Amino acid sequence: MKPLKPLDEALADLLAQVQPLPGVDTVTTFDADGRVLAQSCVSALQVPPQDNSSMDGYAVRCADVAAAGVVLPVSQRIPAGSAGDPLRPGTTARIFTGAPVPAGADAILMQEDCEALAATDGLGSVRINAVPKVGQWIRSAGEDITRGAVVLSAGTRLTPAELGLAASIGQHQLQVARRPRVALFSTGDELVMPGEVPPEQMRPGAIYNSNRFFLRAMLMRLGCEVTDFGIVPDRRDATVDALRQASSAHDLILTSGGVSVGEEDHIKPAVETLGTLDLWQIAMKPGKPFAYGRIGAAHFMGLPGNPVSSFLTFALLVRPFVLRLQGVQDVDPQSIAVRADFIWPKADKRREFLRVRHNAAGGLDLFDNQSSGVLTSAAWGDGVVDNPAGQTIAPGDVVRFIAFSELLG
Amino acid sequence: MKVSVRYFASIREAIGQGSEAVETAAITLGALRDELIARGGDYASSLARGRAVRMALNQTLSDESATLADGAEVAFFPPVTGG
Repeated sequence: MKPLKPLDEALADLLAQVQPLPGVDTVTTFDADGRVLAQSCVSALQVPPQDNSSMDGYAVRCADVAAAGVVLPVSQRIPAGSAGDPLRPGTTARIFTGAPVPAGADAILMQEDCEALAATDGLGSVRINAVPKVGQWIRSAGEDITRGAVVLSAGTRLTPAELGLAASIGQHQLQVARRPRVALFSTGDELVMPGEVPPEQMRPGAIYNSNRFFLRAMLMRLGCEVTDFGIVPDRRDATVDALRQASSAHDLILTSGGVSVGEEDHIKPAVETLGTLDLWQIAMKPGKPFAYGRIGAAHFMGLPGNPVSSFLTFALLVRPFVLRLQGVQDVDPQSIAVRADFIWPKADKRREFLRVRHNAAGGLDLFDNQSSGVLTSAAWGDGVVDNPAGQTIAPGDVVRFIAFSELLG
Repeated sequence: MKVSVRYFASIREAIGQGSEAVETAAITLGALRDELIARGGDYASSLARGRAVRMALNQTLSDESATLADGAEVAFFPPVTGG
């Protein structure tokens, strides 16, 4: 038997196969959520564009307010969105949050520290009841973004915050990586599509195809265009034909099932007829069987058919691959140190990914059935413990936790 | 001329067959798509303009302007896209 391949090595081998997708899409900033930036955004302006007030109050020259109790005439009123005039010495300007600070003023007093006196003429006057410090309540020009700054760099996966940031420097369109085109196949004679047969009429041995649902959803979350080919044809020549056609129009062909040693299946010979295929045994649990190959320019990946294995193998191998195709550099899910509030008495030879959930005390509880067939564990949990091979866990141990938000989004 | 037309995934399911030989006057892939849409019914709905449909000509991803030749093999794929 071949030695098991460490997961890190498998991932490195996969990522070494990636050529970033050619071509760039130009999309409106509104439509860029989840896409990967292909060209850095450089700011042509500074944000804020000028010094502005962060309070409703009065703009002054500190030199005019040597002591509390000084009374200054109000020489102008500056609401947000209007530009004031230079502040005449010995006067103050009524100013509002976000309004530009007039030239000459070097501090803002919040209105709570001021007392407006009845107007006898013009804008009246105000008693200043505090001594200002130079710069107080002023947001400096360029404090958020300086002109020429790289605000978002190529390879960034865009989220709502980044869309707002891009808009704040005037970008109404963004250059993003084109979507990876993925052809999804399922294998397995036992698989029945939900909706085709009601649960009470399922024949013995038949199971509903669940992998197709989560794989498709995960691919779409990663920005892919998915063509769902359904169950692979039951004849070898038809399978060869479907794979050949799929390879012409897709960057990645993904199958679930059919890659275990000894499985009755014609995916393997079909792929080998058209291209190359390597079967890997990966030292991870759940998981282990995985296939990588090429058909023409398209990548081929075969996931295990077992739902939890398929789910986690996708999250740990396919997800980083698909992100890297789009130009994302940092594809490693972040793991954090968390206290285990459970016992895991039996070490495994493989690196394990245990489905867990945070409890109210900040520790981790273990799902009580870690069988790889049960997707309940993944739905119940909020992440996995990345447990090294040969390691047991006692309550109170600090373990490495990877949130599902790191693996599925 | 005669071309071989292949349907995949949900288009195949909608049309109810995976392939057919089509006698066509169309010169381009786009014109062939229009001819098929003109048949109405499931052809019209699954290949409709405005729906994302990818096309391959002789197993090469192609756009609508690609030129057909007698005996060509044309494939239609329906991509679905996330948010």
